Amino acid sequence: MVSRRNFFAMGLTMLILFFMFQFTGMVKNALNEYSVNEYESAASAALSAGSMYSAASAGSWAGDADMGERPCILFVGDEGSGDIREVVRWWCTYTKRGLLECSELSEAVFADNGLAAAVIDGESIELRQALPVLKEMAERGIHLIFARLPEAAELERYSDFREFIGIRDVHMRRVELSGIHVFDGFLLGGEKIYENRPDEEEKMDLELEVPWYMTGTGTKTYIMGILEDQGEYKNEMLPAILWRKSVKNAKIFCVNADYLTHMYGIGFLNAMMADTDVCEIYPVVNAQSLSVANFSGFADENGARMEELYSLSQTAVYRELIWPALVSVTYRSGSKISLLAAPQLDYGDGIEPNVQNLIYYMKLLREEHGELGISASSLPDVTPAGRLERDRPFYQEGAGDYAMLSLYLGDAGDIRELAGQPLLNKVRTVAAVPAGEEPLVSYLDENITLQNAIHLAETHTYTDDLALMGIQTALGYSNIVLDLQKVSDPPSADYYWEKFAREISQNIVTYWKNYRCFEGTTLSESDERIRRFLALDYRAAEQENRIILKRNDVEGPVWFLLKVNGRTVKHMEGGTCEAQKGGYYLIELDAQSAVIELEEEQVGIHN
Amino acid sequence: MSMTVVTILQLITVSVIYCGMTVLLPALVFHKKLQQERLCVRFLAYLLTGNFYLMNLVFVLQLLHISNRFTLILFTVVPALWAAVRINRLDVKGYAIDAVKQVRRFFEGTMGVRLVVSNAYRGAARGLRKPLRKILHDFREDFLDWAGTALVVFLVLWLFGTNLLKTFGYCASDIPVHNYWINELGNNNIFAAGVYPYGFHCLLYYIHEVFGIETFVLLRLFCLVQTMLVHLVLLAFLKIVCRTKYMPYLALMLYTFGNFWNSNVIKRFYSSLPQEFGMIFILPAAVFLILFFPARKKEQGEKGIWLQSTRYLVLFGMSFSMTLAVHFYNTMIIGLFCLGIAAGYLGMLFRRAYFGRIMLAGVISVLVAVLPMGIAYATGTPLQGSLGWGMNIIKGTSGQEEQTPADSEVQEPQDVPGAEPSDSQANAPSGGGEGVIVQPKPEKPAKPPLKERLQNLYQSLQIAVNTHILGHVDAKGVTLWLLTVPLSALLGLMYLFTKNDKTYGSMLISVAVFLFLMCVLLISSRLGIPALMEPIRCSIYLSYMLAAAVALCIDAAVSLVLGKLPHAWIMHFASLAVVAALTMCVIADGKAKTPIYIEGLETNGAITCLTNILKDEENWMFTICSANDELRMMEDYGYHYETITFLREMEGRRQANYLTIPTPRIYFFIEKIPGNYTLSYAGSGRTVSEEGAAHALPGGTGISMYKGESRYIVMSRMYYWAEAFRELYSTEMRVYYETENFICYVLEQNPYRLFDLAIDYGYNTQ
Repeated sequence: MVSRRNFFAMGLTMLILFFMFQFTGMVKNALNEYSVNEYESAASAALSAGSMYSAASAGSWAGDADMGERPCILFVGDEGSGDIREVVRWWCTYTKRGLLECSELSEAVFADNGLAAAVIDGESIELRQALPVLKEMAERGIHLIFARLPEAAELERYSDFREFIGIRDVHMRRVELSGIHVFDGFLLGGEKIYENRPDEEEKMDLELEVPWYMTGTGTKTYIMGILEDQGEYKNEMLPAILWRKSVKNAKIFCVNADYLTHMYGIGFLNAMMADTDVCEIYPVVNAQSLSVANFSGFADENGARMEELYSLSQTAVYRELIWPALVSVTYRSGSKISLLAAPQLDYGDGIEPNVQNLIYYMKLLREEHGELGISASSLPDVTPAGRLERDRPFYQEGAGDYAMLSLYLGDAGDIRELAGQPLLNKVRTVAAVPAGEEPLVSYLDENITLQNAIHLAETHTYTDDLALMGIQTALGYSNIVLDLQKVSDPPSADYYWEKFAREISQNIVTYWKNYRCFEGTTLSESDERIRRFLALDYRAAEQENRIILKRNDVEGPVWFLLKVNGRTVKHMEGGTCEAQKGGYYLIELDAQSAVIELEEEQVGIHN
Repeated sequence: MSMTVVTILQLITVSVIYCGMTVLLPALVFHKKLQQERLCVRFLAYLLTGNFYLMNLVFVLQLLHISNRFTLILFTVVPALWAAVRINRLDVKGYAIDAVKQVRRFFEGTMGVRLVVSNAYRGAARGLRKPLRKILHDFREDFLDWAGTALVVFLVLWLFGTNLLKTFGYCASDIPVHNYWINELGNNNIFAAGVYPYGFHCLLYYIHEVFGIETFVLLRLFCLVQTMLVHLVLLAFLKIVCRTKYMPYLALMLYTFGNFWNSNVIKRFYSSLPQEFGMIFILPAAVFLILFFPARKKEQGEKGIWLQSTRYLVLFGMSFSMTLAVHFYNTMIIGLFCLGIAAGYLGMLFRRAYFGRIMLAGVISVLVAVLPMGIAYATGTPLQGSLGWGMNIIKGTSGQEEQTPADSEVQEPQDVPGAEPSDSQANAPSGGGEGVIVQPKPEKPAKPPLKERLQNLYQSLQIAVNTHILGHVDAKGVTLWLLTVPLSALLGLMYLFTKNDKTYGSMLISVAVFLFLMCVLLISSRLGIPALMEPIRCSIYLSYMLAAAVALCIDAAVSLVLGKLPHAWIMHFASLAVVAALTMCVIADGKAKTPIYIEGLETNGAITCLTNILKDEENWMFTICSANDELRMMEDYGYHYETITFLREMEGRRQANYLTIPTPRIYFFIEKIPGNYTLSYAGSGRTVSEEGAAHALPGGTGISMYKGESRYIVMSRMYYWAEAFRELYSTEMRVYYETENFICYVLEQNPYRLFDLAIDYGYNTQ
């Protein structure tokens, strides 16, 4: 028998426990300001396309005169060099360099205009005529980058040119590689071997048929081809894909592949320039975004299929399966969720979304420091504009005054078609999946930035990985789009959540691991950083193991990647500096200027 | 931390380890057995026991091919514990039970941490109180003695240690060979280059293997430790045989502090060489044989083996054995000393109670030393080149064939550079009989009268002493030093006629005969007998015995005059006064020695870099491309590429198509001011230059291209290659370390895609 006193005590204890558990939940619920977008900041509101820095249009440096002007880049290419030209143009934009263009080397004027390097489309030049000019450029210390090499047959004929660019022998005009080996210390992300393996065949999408050039004296190879049967060939004899030849004060880089025809080639250009000198510093965005697009856990659409696959309704699938998996991925990858909601994916089924679900996810997002945005990619039966029109009442009722700052447009959207949409009043940035070679970050119009995805979360081919390395090296930026449209109506078993979740988890967590130095951001956060990045102008000068870094008056912190060869950063004033692999340092510049003190790598303790 | 500080720390470590293992550990084990003996006797006994055990332990384990850190520690610790327990009658069981009880109480919670600590403290205090009190008591009692010893230690450290802080490299050209032999012991490959006395190598190998100190560090620094012990052993020897308390310090003062000696006599002490290490064991062997006679006399023919005299004989045997195991020259010297002792103690030697025991001890000691070499020889290992040479000397066939040491890489005279080697010395082989000149047989002239012949011989002796031992003093000075020989004999004879001091007299006669034999050895070629040892080597031994003889003569004289007085302190005070007076004379006469500087065979920069590289780099992940000496220093840790091989493969007729070195980092050691490496030339001391690089790459084998002007050419070419390569690979090839006369470049490369090191640097041989 329990005495009354004990019974009372037990009851009271249970009551207290009950209250304590409920209390925390209640407080959390009550204090959750889910209807406020925590990333709605006015910090960079003033920055628009007009603020974007352009070396061509910029006046002279307003800071100290002794910091000097940044040397320009010369591009040499003809009509067939369009992709490369685009890459070089954006590279110059991002690195704040001036760009000179000409279609023939003979037109190039390089005597007094402070050229740092020339990017040359090797297919567009005539070797015999080009060689003296190229030699003169090299003599003057202008680095040469062959974005594409001349035809192998031509190189076979002109031994002088071959020797000039570091080719000892054209061993074969065409060879089928089994993969490529990217060596450590070139791109951020370190060493990578992309090879045809039986279990990873679907990942191989690199260009594998290349001329077999054997490099010679004075060269350094950054990317090497791998043969299925290496036989008696030493590694040094294997096909060189990207290498460097030193000629007195200049370096000649040769790319025996199509990397510089893709936008990720800007990372290769940065890495090459970083290896030309003892130190190289350039601005980066420092933003890693995960855009969860077409998240449609608001309406019980496609019920029969969902019941069949998961024995759950669609809203339950999103709530019980998808959301926990997403949170897990973000925790493990150090990212933040940019949830680009899609209230409906089928506007003809008569099933309307439940506003309570939106509120539910907004609360969860707030707890996870995520952000809500809008998905407006085109659907089979409705245009982006139509979608926005249909979704407007839902958002107005559920989200209230929540500032929708980000928009997902998929791969075929055009923001201009959406002009005047009331839902997009506050939208400042658009995440998209580029259909071709488009700039990675830029302005779509005067006020809206574009954040192109590097790849989709469900796939990660070798090219995707190479692109990720290149873009991270160039911009410290990535945006991976996880489009859940097909998960809501799986066209094949690949999109069943259990398999899809495994794939995305593997792709995001594994391949982002090497870039943890960059910050996980929502789309709005990265938008702010992109605006600052694009508006930034800077100068860096080295004096006696000290780098003096100055920038224009863009408000807020900006980031740089510094590569020092053979030295280490000892101390930094005016910002913070964090060492990365491969001799890179991530620098956060808070003040208008900073001084970075370098020191020679320590010999050891005894001297 | 500067290299000087590192060197000092390394030196302290090496000294503590060596003295700990060869003096302290035997002392812990055997102190009860020897507690009745004088401190100097105990010191020698411990030193011999420790060295003998470690040396032979390595020999045995090496011959069984099971030598490694584990077995070495096992066979050191277990026998030491066993012996300590047996000899000191330790109640191990009681200690163990007590320890278990304490542990149990601790874990049961009935004993707290504070009690454990306090118990441990009390136990330690109890154990240390007695020895500490004794040490303090001894220190108070013999303060002047301790002060004198401390002064000797200080002088040795100052005179011989200063150079170690200035010169980091090896100072003798055959040390790399010894380094190689010690390295090979790590592979259980004893007698790597043939049968050779390996005692020195075994001991250094033991320290390297057990304590992890790099062999090259030991070879750089051990010379000071062994020199210190040579001096302390001389002091202990004299403390045992002298009758006055402070006269031994006179010998040490003359030998260490007095600047009477030819530089050849002391220069070898600046290098870790087996011969000098073996000198540690000469005087202990002599002193224990000398001590044997009175001890045996006291025993009055008592039979048995656990007698004091037997102990002395055992110690004599160990010491004699070690001279043989370390370097044959030392055996020759102790052999001569034994002959002297035989002459001194002639009256006792052939008595039954003495002779058999001495002979047995001698035979066993020789057997112990020769056995490992004999086993190796019997199992097919040939004699090392210099040993073959020694055998031929003994057989009298030395001139019939040219001998070369087994290791062809350093076919060098092992004399200290700058020691003004004679012409014939340049061709001397390295190793046990290293550097001995094979004199051509003189034609027989008509015999002059005996008096004239004796006069001539004395003159030869004077010249030899003056040339090789003393620093070119006048003839009177030489006579004064040589006078100690007959004076010792005379004083010895006088003591022989006393009633109670016969053994002291015998000792003096022994020393006199020994010195006489040493003089004969010094001028053996003049006498027409086989030159068992070249004068330069002989002078090293003779010099310190001459200093000892001076002390012994004065000791004998003082003792003769004042020894009969009822108060011994008068005699001791007189000895102190003599030492003080003579020291003042030496200082006043400007004959005080100051430290000398011996130039290393490689630059300090090279050793500094090597030390850093070994510290920073993972083993086998780097290559050092240098001229010669680093090869053996680093062969257990990384790869080595000879500079000459590199240059030859990079250019000229033997040019490699694509020259690669397959490690992530390659270090290039280049002397900006190339050393001479034992061979000077007209332009010595020049900085590397384009003119030097323009010369054709020197030919030749061995290390001839690293000597004299060839080294200048090789270094010049290497320097310009490095600069040209650095221009091509400005971010990959960096200066790792640079001084006025040395530069080290480091090349970082991708091991999956190696750089082609064969470039056109403007001076390529076509």
